[in-house]
Amino acid sequence: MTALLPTEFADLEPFAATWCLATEPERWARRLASTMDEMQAFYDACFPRAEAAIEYCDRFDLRDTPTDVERLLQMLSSLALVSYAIEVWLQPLPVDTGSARLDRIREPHP
Amino acid sequence: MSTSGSHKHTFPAEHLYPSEVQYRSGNTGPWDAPAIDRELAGANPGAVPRWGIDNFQIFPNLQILLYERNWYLSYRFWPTSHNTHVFEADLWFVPATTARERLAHEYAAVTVKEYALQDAGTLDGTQLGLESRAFADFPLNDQEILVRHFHKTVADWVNEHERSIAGLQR
Repeated sequence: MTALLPTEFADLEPFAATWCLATEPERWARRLASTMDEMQAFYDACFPRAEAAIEYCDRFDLRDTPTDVERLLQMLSSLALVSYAIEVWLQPLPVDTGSARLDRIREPHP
Repeated sequence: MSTSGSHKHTFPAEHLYPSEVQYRSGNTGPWDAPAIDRELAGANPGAVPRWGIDNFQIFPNLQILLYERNWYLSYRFWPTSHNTHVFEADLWFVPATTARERLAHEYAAVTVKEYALQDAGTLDGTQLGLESRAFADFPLNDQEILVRHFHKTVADWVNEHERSIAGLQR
């Protein structure tokens, strides 16, 4: 199988197919469709590697990022989104949202 | 309306979520304010010491939240019926030039959604309460002066409209 991430982050490869998603709507849908156990495993693997991953991404021009580095950046965006489920709500959806829903309809890439 | 807000970037780590520390960002935006080449004319009109946030409410449906960390939020509210509405939030940043900056923006945008969903979740109860007609009064204290002004202005418009209709019928 071809690696999706830079070789320096091969340890995160098991999570790449699931969490390297280009847009927030895809990441949000993945969070809501995931179990807390799945997200905890991703968080536990990815969070300790986040600082190294950010430093790695910062070696490249943000407007001309190689595809594997862009995927690493997408994974870090997924970690940001998953962190609220893990650190704050202890469930995929924020607590007590009633009938409210919010969709992101515009965002910069990357 | 000017407030001191929370200067989250000065909080000790034990009072923050681990990811706030990692991404250096959160509900008051990215911690590392970008350099901008001018004074923010009109910021902190309330001359609040240790200023954090301005909330400009522009009748009828635009709100601008200006943060001390050199970014701002805009909200727009579009009524779609007497008891539903569409809420739009935009985050406005100096464009990121590095992955770290981009991720700080992302974490701020993620945070806005988490908080907005919670805040909006209370509207169901508020609306049901209002529709129950159980309350003759809805007290709004001085901290809610922007909400109070909004409802006063709406009432003025409705009253003016009703007067003009009555005038036509005479």
